[in-house]
Amino acid sequence: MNLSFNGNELYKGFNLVTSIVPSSAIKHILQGIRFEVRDKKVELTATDLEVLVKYTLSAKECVGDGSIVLPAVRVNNILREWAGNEEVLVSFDGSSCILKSGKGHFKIAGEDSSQFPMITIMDVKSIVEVDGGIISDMIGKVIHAASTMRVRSTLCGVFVKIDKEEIVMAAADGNRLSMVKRKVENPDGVSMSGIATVKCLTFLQRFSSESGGTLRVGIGESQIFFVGEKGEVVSQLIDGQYPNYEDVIPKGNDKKVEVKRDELIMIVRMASFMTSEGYHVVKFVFKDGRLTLMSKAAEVGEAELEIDASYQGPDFEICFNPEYVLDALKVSDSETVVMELKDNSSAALFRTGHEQLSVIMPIELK
Amino acid sequence: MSQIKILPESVINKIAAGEVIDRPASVVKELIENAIDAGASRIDTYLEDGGRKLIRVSDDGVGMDAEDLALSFQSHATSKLQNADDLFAVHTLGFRGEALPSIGAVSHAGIISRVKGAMNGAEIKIDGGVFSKVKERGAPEGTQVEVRELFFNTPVRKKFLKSIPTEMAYISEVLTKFSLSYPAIHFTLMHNNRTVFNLPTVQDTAERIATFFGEEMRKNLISIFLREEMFTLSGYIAPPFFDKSNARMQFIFLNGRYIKDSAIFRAINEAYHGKLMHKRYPIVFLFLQIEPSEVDVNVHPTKIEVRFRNTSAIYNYVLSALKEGLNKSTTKTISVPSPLPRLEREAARGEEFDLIKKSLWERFSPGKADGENAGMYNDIRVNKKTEVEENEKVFPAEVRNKSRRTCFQIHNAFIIEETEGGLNIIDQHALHEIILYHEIERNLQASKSLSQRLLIPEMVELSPKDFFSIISLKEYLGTLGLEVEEFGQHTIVVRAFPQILKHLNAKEFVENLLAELGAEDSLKGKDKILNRLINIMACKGAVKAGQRLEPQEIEELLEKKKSINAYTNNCPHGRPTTLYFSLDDLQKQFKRK
Repeated sequence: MNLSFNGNELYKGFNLVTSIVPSSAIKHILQGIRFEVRDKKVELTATDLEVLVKYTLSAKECVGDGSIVLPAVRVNNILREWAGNEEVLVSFDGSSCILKSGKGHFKIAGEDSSQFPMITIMDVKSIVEVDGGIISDMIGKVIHAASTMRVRSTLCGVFVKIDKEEIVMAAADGNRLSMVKRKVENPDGVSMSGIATVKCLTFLQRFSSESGGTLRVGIGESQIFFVGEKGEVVSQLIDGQYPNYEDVIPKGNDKKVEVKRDELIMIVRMASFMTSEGYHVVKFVFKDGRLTLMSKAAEVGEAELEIDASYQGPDFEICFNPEYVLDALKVSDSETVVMELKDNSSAALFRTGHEQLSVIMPIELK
Repeated sequence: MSQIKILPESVINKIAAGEVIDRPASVVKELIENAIDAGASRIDTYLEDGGRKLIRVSDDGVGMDAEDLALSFQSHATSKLQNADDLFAVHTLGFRGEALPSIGAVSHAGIISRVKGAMNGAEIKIDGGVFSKVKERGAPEGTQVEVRELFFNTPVRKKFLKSIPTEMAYISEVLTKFSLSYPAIHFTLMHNNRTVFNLPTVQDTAERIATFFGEEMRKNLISIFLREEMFTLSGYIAPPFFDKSNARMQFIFLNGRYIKDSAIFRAINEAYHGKLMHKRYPIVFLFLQIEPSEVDVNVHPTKIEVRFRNTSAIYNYVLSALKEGLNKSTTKTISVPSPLPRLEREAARGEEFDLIKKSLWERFSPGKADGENAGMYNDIRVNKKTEVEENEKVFPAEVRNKSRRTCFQIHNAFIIEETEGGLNIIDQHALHEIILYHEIERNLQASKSLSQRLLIPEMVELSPKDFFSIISLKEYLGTLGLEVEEFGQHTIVVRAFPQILKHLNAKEFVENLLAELGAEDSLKGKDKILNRLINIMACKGAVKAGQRLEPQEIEELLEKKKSINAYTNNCPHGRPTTLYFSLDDLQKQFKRK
């Protein structure tokens, strides 16, 4: 069959799905992208067996049906060079593909598309519609907190829950948690939850910015899927019970301190300059309407930085890993943040925006 | 008729001889000790047939007059003790008055001696315990003792003697020990008219060490010194890469006497702990001076074992002196104050290895006088230097420093690093481990360990035995930032975790800890447990073999190796971290040289 694309359109779509292709795979065919034409619809599919993405390309011209698996990286490299071209022509039979544009011409060996593993949406009963932009934004607000340690597999993902009129995402490693809540329309009163992989959600952010519009979200026993206008993302869920994040969020921390977010970010970042690997700690000292940050590391030096803070209680000190605080503050789009603290060994709550918070465990100096 | 009889003196002396004199080497030892006690400045030893046929020790000491000679072969006759109190403050090597009679009982022996300044000398002979009259005769100042046909009357003992080379080896060892301990005495050893050694007086023991163990050893020796009330420790220790497969190169001298002492051995092992591989032993030359009243040397006839009044103090002194010495050695090579520290350091390292190789060659190339070798060696060094200087002229310093040397990872396990004089092959895990070890140790020394509290406390279920081991360590674990608590019968809950281990899982860590501790260490003192914990933390926190490293990570690791300012040649378990190949070596391998 013969297809004609705008060079940029083709490259954008192909490049998007290429990002899910595993860089090394035991199954060789996984390093390819399935290219299928059926009923004038061109669909690209890529998977690493954990996440599967389908993306629909809009062709300028489309004649005939068929499918082939193309080597992802090679074809992507070619298409990148042609991204500025007005027209790229694609034609293929079962075993090879011809790409033409301008005065160039490639013949590329492909693979049999029937060998390509497909994940089908199996057990999803109900769906909820959410704006893609909102999903993308929520992911950005929590994903930094997900654990990167393989042994704690449930914490390596992001907990996604849809219940009543709310969608919640929470991510945590052993030492901190971030959570964000948004309103959704849920006319059927659907209640579902699961632990999505970081890879799936990171990809979804890209996907929804390319695809735009509304996403239909469904979570089943073992899968989560997002279907948009231009395609869909299906992913395996992480198996296991996510810790009850609600329990971890401290309630009744009596010391409440409000500070300007930008100011706090700046001094935390600057204080962290005087920490060293293996000694990553900044002391927060609250005293008479001021917050002073102190850091000190052997063979490095020390720093002391101060900002105004709405604190009037007794003098108080607590230590944190500055990375955790920065991670929480960076994803805030609020002008001020509120810290809710109890004592120097109890969980600290950072309210960093509307229905958005981080819990950070302090460090104790022994 | 009574069965019990008092033994005749000749038998008594033979029995006593069995304790003190068991081979020619022990005769040599006793005679040299006497010579040293006599204030000799030169001691000549002459042997025939490995000392079986003849042992002759001559000195230029104070000598004995006829009266003394007559008593010398009597049992328990000594000039070195006056009364029982002296026994607890022995300043001389001998004191028991046992050696000469014992020797006389089992050989044909004779003494010729002249007191310094006396007109005439005197001579006495003893044959299998029967002694002759003292005769006047001419003699040089000092004393000469001759022992012929050792064990002629104790055939069983004689049968147990080994071959001549073996007996010579024992005797050489005896002389080696004395000559290390008494650098101011000129020692010679001759065997069947051939000189085995001739050791003129030297200023410093290090020169004797160089003579016996090679120049490269002397170059690397670390001198140590510690003075406390009633205790002085001086000497030399070799850096860990001069290790041996046995402890025979651990020379300990107490007030000049070679001794073996388990407390001191333990201190040595502890000081080198983590710097040597399992079953490897360091080389040390330790000279202890202790108030004689603080030590009992009268524990064993050969006086090789002693009893200290305060063993633990001795242990601590030795340990701290050695530790300090070892630290000194590492800072010495690292903090060279110069505009091009890295270059120089590497050049220096190159030389070190050249040296080791060279000395091997020296050992196998016979007939070269020491002086010659030293000369050659100097030439090589000079050439090297000019080479470096020339390079410096061609490339200005900044340019060379900027151009990064190649380093990369192979098999996700080793790092190859190009250096000025060759290349390093680095075990990434071992290197990271020792770096972490030092970092953790330092953090602990700064006494503030960062304890990151856990969002969700982790439960670890353990066997009853493990449960109690962990709980008993609770306090120590706490100082490291690991907060554990009992939770139910055999479960502990981990509430806080050391920051340095943040990418580890608590359960894994606890299990590893138990495995490494085993049963042996559980109650052996806080420092040791902390040390083990640091080991584990370092090991677990370090990158593993098989882990891919980004170029920046490799750079960082190498940078740290340079900046850590501590010993990094071995991982805490003693495995080497770095193998060095000099360019010279490579060129030789490729037959370019």
